[in-house]
Amino acid sequence: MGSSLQAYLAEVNRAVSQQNSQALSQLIRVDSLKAKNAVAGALQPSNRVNLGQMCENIVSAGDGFMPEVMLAFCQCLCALQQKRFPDAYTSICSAVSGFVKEYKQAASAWVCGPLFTLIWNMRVVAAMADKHTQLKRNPNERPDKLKDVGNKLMKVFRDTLQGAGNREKKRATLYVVTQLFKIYFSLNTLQLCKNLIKAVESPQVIPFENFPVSHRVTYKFYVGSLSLFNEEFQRAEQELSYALQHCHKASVANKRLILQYLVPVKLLLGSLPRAGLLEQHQLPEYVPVVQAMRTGNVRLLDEALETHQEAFFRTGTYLVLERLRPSVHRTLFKKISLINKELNPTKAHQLPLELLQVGLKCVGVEIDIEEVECILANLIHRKYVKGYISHTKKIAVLSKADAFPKLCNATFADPT
Amino acid sequence: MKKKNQKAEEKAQKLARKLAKTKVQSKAKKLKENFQKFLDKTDTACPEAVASGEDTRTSLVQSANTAAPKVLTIPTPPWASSSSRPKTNFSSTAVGTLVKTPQELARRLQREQRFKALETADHAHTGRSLVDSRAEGSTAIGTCSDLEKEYLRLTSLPDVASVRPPKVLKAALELTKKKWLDKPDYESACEQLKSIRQDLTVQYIKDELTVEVYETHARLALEMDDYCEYNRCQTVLKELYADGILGNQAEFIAYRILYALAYQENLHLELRHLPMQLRQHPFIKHALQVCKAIKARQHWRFFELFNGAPRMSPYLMDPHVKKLRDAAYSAIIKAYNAPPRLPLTFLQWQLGFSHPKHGQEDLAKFIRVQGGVVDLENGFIDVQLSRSAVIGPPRA
Repeated sequence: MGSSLQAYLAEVNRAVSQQNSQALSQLIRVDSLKAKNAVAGALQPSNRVNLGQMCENIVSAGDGFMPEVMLAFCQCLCALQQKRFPDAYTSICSAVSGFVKEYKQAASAWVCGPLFTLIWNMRVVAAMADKHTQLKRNPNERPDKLKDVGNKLMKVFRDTLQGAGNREKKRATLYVVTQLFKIYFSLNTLQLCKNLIKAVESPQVIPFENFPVSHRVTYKFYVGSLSLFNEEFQRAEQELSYALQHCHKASVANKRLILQYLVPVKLLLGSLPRAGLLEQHQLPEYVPVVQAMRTGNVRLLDEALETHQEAFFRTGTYLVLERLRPSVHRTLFKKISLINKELNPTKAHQLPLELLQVGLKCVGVEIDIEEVECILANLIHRKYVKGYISHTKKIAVLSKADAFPKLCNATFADPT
Repeated sequence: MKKKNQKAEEKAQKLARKLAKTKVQSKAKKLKENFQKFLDKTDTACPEAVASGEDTRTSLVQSANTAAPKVLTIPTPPWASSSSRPKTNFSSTAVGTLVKTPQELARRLQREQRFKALETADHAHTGRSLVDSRAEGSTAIGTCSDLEKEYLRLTSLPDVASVRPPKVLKAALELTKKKWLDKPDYESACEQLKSIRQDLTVQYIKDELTVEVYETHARLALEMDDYCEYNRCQTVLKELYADGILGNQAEFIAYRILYALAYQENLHLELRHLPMQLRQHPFIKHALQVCKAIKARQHWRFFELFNGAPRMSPYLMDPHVKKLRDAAYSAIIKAYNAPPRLPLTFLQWQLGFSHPKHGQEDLAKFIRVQGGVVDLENGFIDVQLSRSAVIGPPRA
């Protein structure tokens, strides 16, 4: 069965000598069936295979670093099949460091593809190793493999930034950055992302449009979500819209992910999605929220947040949606003021606070008159409503012209 | 170096012989001087020789003084009891290496015994440590029965007689709680709790009692704004709860949420890890409502929740109070126009100064800091005048 391993290594060698990026990338994935079968065969105790020798002999193409890369890769696969995750992780790390040397030497940019695959391998194996450690709950072992990958990738990032020998190789940088983002997001060390973003935006790096589209979309997605968590909503909207626009038509799952963050941001900024968008992208949790925004139904907003709490907690958008409450109040008050206009056309701009209280009761929210005053005061302060309150007469005097300006013109940030 | 030493040795011997021979005083004096000079030189060259050199010096000088021809013998150093010590050669081993002679080894053994004596003096009655008793197979439980114990960092293995068993620790915890209620003294309470924690740790006890101790300490820390200690206790409690030990998990998760809200550390992560079964618990519901009130900037709702906050939550809600009050004040000043005067009682409730009597004074102080115009005797604030006045500190 050593022959299937030989055949596999021969294929690898062919790919390297032809500088066939795609073929090599397919061959050196940890989940590639070909590779797994080849190694499984060699694992039989009856075959005493000298792996190192084999790699040296067969994988001779390239700049001389491939044998050690393939050796480490095969060892990793062996370890994975025997469920020895820490060993698998160490092997794949050596494979990556070996290949980085090849990358630095290579004259053309064909090495980028295989490099991406190897980095992806490293992250995936580290995640598996950490999960395994957590399940075992051994107090001596700590699940820090993913963190280690983060450190290693920073080095790779610097290497790609230099792009020794060929400027085209610098195109690998953004992929490394996105992988680092994924790691930081799963480890919840979001503060480390800031430095990466600064680095990508620095003039050292090649212009953003030169990177492959898929990398750009992923990058913008992560930067957008980060801005959302940091409550920089304008920026979040820009980044996420870019990501959505450039996202491939067919990648439905990705579009859904982007929209999960883009919808709340757009709602906050005052623009509602067109009918059918949410159904099309399978985002049922936002349907009642949008409905509440349209009709000013505060109770509906509360219910929506309760029912879909799980989904909102997971994406981290629960508290962002809570900030929609003033907008919903504003819509409700606008409707009540219109009703008031009809009832008392002569005193249209004088809105009794009691009416607001009754209106809120109609949608199922029972609160004191003082709380009504509080809500209204906040709305006036944030320029959602133009007018003022009279405490003794208990009425709100609204501006005769445009008492409820459009939401997109109002600010939701804390006014100074 | 060796050659030099040999030469120096020869010279020394020569000089010594001369000194011994001379009977003339003046000559002897001169020779002595030369000898001193020579010895000073050799001091720097062979520092090891210095120790013995000094003695050689004295002995040589002595022998010179006696004016009787003496054979040059190197005297033994004073600390050696029995001496068949080898001759200290100038060409002997270089600086720093120890000569492992039987005498040297004997001396080391003696020094060791001195330290051992100090150690055994510590363990007065039994001298058995907890580790020993655990090694012997019996469960490692202490035998001390003091209800109050000073907290000292462990520098040696814990002694069975100084560690308290769980029953005693429980009583000690009750005593600490009672003392805190009678007369709050944070330092002594902290010390007692730390020593209880230490006793629990060395006995590897991780049960409801441990949870209770850490919870109590965390609550005290919150009351006294000791966030370092609070965070330490929270970390341990998180692990204990994860191991399945029962305690007031909902309460402490609520604290985690409020802490993250106050200090903006990954609040969305805390929510993500909220266990399903606890989501409807009143404490957690309260904490979530606080989050919602803060995010929606509803100051009325916030102060209502503040007044009804369970257990230690008010301490964690404190950081928000100032910011929210400032925002609420500016909103009210902007929104209210006619009548130009607002009653202070109304503002009290809006701004969370709801304590009946001195609430108004605090409120007046607050307004004045903001640059507002307030009339305390008649109990109102002049909104129009306050609006035009210089607004106080910048608001976020």
